[in-house]
Amino acid sequence: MTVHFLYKKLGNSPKHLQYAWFSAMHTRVDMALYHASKELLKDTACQIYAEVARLEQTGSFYSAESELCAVNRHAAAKPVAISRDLYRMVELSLELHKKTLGCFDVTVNSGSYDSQTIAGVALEKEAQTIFYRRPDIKIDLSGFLKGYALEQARAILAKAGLKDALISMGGSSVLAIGNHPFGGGWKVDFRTAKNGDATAVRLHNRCLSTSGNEIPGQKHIISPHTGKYIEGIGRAAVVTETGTEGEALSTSLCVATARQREEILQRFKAEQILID
Amino acid sequence: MDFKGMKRRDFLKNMGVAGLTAFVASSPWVSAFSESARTQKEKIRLGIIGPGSRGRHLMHFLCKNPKVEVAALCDIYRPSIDAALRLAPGAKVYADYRQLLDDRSVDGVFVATPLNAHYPIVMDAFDAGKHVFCEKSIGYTIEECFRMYNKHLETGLIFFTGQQRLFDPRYLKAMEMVHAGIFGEVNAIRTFWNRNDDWRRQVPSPELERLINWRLYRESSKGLMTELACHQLQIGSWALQKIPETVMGHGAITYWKDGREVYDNISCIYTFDDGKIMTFDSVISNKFYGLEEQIMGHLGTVEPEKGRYFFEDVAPAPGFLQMLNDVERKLFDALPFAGTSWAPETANENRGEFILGERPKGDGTDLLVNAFVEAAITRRQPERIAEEGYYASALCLLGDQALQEKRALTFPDEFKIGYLNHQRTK
Ligand SMILES: NC(=O)c1ccc[n+]([C@@H]2O[C@H](COP(=O)([O-])OP(=O)(O)OC[C@H]3O[C@@H](n4cnc5c(N)ncnc54)[C@H](O)[C@@H]3O)[C@@H](O)[C@H]2O)c1
Repeated sequence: MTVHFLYKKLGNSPKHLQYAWFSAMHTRVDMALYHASKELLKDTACQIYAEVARLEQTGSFYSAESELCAVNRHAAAKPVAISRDLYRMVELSLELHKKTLGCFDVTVNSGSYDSQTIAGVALEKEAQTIFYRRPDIKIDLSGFLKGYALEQARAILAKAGLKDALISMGGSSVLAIGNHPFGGGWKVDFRTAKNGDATAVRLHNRCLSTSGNEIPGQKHIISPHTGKYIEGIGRAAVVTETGTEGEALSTSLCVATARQREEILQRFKAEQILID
Repeated sequence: MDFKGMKRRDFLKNMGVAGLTAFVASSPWVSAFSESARTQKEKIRLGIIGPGSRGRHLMHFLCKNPKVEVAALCDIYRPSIDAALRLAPGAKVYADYRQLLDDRSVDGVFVATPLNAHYPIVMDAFDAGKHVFCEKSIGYTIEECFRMYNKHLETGLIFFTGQQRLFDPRYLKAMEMVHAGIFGEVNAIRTFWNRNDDWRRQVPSPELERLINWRLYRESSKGLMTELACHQLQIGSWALQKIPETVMGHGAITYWKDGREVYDNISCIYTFDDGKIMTFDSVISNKFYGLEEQIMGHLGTVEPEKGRYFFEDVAPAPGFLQMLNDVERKLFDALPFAGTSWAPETANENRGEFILGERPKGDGTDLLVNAFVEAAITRRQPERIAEEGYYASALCLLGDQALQEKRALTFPDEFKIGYLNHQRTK
């Protein structure tokens, strides 16, 4: 069994809180849902698991068998027909690239990367194909994928009629819909990298995304300005309406200049939480 | 249960008697300490019957407790008395335990004689109006244990048994986690206690052999079952909140063929009414794996003796566990989990997590002894402690009987005491 479950009855009400967790996308996924029917809860969590696993097969940059890796191998030779999901993800990330003034760039891991690399990615809507106009382009959807997965999970929850849920993808991408069983929205704590103080945010139908080089020696954010790993900034956390926006925005804020930051924040209907 | 503030050092620091009461939900007997502040000025007078090696270990804690005066000693072996007097120089010495029991100024007794001597002493002690702490195993037969337990009920006097794991901080914490369901459904408990020595003590003169090496002879002991299994079998009922129904097994003397009468090689299987299993193995000619009680849930394993726990796959997240715990109390609190991404590289290898940050200094014996003192002062028997003690002894004795008779045995209905699932059917 790959999904684990724990349950707690909610006081005198017939409802149960279900905590389900599993590992996928090189991280862990934790979710809290509640309803009177345990079967419905369990079934929904399993569906979300299956969806996350499917998306990993589609968009993982690291597993050689993924659809994305096949695209990265072949799309410079000729247009490659791709699945709806992959098409949608690439399309969205290109939009977000523009919206973030070039700060969010899924091609930063390409061979001879520069700020024009991403312009070499050509999508063909009718045929649903992708083509790389430069030979060394590599698309990496790593962070974005989690945000996208949260949006897919949101759709599964809606279809199941579940109006309250909290889902965390590795702690860095969190979707909160509806309410905690005993309060409005869901409260989430995080500790700032610098002084360890706890900051709590209350999320109601919102996503919280965090990006950064918080773990020493594990830099992973590349600046489109320099093509190098960013230094200095600990972390950026944002609250947005959707997970995909959250991923793009939090990553962007880590690499943006102060002027860009202001403009980007205005473009998104986002609440900035912290940058340290 | 507090998962999020589980800073382990603090936990241990606060692990004084007051901190213990946090475990009252899963281990109700810790309530013994709930009035310890109010009993500050009280003093009780205790007698030690059989101050041998264990008895003096218990005295060591009693002598440090300002609420206790070790007032009387009784032993049939002079060197034991002399050593005990060094711990409690003012104590009155009795050659016969009955004389000690006649001493009206003694409030309670600790019985730490060899197993076969427990029963008459404990029964007489209750009759004399004394509170009783009896070392494990309490009786030589289940019937003896049953009568002792009933005598405690009839007299209303305090009755504790020497099951110190009941107060071992590692076990208290582990059981709280098990009961909270963190390790999922527990289907099996494997206990083992392995050593590589002959289990003999030096005898100054041959006629003392049976007095000193009483553990090795059937007339005074049931060997590994009553000496070791007794502690470990209790872990099963504590974890599962259930008493097993049947036992089968095998025992033999296969290595230490030195005239002893008790087995040196044992394996027992206890089964619960739902088919779950608890095993006890003991071999004393190989110590490689030492001792442990492995509590095996479908999500994880606890090894309280080593003080660690392990998860099968991905461990549950502390923040979410906290939420489950909070909703039980209708609390709406923040989840302490968000941050930059959790990655497998930053997760622990499956080397296990510590139940408590560091190994606690005591194994619970000091707390057990002091809990008895509190109970005797307040005259309040903590919930479940006598029952846990009764079943620990009854189960190891039933196991021994199965080994002796070489057949599977069912727990006799007439010896059920109405505890947990063991309600009498008649
Ligand atoms: N809880 C534990 O972890 C633990 C550990 C060790 C022993 N024990 C238990 O403690 C008890 C004693 O074990 P021990 O190792 O101290 O044995 P021991 O042989 O060292 O001590 C027993 C003492 O009782 C005395 N004695 C014997 N018969 C007596 C009688 N009729 N009246 C008065 N004194 C008498 C002996 O002379 C001796 O001094 C046993 O029941 C044993 O199972 C418990």
